[in-house]
Amino acid sequence: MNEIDLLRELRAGLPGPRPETESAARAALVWRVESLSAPARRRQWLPTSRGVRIAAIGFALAVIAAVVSVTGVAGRGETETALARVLNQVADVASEQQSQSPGPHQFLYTRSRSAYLSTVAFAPGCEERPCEASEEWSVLVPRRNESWVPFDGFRFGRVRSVTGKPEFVSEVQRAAWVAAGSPPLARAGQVEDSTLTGGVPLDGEDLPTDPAALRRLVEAREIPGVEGPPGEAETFVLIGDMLRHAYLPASVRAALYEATAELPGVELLGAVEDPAGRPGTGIAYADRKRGVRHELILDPETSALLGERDSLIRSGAHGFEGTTIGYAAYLEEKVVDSVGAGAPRGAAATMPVVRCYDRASLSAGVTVTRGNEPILTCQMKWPGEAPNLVPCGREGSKVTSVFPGSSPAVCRRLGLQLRP
Amino acid sequence: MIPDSEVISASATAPAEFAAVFDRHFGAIHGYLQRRLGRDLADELASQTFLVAFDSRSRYDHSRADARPWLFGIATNVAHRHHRQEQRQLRAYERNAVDPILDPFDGVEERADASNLRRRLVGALAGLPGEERDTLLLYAWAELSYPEIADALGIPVGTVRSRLSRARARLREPLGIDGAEAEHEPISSDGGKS
Repeated sequence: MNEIDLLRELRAGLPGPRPETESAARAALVWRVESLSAPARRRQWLPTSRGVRIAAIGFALAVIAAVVSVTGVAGRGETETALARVLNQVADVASEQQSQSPGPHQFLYTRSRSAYLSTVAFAPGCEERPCEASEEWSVLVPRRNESWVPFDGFRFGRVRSVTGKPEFVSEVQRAAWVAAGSPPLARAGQVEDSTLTGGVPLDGEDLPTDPAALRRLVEAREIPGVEGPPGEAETFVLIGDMLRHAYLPASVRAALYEATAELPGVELLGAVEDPAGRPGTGIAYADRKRGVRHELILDPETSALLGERDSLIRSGAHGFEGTTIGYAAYLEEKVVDSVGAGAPRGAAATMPVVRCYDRASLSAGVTVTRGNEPILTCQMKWPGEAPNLVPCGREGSKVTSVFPGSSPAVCRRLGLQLRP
Repeated sequence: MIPDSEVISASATAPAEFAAVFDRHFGAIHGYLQRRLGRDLADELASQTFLVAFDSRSRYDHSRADARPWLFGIATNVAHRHHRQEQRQLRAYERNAVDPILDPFDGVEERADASNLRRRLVGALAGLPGEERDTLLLYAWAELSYPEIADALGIPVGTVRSRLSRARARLREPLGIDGAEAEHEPISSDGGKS
């Protein structure tokens, strides 16, 4: 018996992964795949796990100086008043805009530029020993995005993105990367064009036009498609997600601006440029828990949301104050009749609907989405928890209803059949 | 079966295709990480391995039909942050004759049944430089061939050969295995795809 045989006996026969481990890992992967296919969503820019670290290097944005000058001169009460005045003026402009009312067979087309942090390389030396923070490079990977999202719940959409040249968050990191022999980063110019299986555009006709009522619905996360973790910071981000959409009724967009004026903790940044270099007015919410400032840039003349930017609000292990860790510029939005030329096979095809219920009751909270794999689709609604789920439906129907539970009896009780 | 390389190619335009790579290889990757670091860390790192793989799928070398070397390479990289933990666990095993990565609730007897030989082996494994331990365990536990290990770690095959022979020598000494005798053992896995 030689040393390799002995080694092969060591820790041999360990049990395989537990089924829940495997399904959680698979759900995490599917979640990542889906988040790539979905239109750029603000909260996906942030590092999700311990993965991303940025070397601590000085890097300050002009926009931070703007924050300091506004809040530094004005007292707190004065700032809030100025904020409310600006937002209420924008709300007035919004209420006079013409909105398009999409038909069920149309698509919402959007064109944007965005970037988020991605850890893409390791120093060769770190293959031999634990990596130091300075040996991992986080780069902003810019993308030009287009998406076509169907207004009915039954068809695929399309999402196309072109990867740009990765941007280092600091010169020092760039120099470290060069010193390490410039290992490959994200490939610039790569085109991804795929069918979209994300959510349905917001139905503006269903939303209240009273700012307080609208804010309560957002805070309770009770609007289908406007979902996210709890917290004021997320509420600010979700309102930003809704404001992006010019197709929403003018009265709803006006109410969103008025509701933003009333949110605690929102600051006025004054005149700033959006990530595409267009002038606008900035408002921001500092999420102290995560150390990130969320910034929205709007155009007071048209009430359009021009863009967003996330930056670090304090220096620390993740980098210096002001470092931009994600941004988006919304360049175009319109209602169109098709998914455009050169679409991948399957875009615009109809697909089954999945309804994910919070409880084993047809009157419980429900998320409607599309997908061929009901259980996986609904598991993504509860990432990490991976509850037992039961798929039910009516014969011949394209709709599958998925309920939490461990027994097929739930389908019978609700007058449905178990789906294979 | 469609080769992994074609699945990964397809995932450039249809990302959901990548799930097939997960379904084929999750068990093996988890098993390797679990053997090195225990179940809890393996649960986390195996998941992370496939997220990193998905994010870097555009850099996959499509001339490689089998994705295992690539995935084991990523898993090895992801596990690097835990080298010290691995070393501590091996040292504890050597010292106490009890393997700390095994679940205390099953197979207690087996846990305590560590022969002197095995303790010396574990001690020698803990003492290996990280690069040699990676190479050795990709060979002995992940069962990769020399060229596959070279792919996984991004190093020349010759380096694999020299690291492996150094590592084996470092294990043989405390085990009292005669080097000359061991040399008769063919170091055979040069074959396969290259």
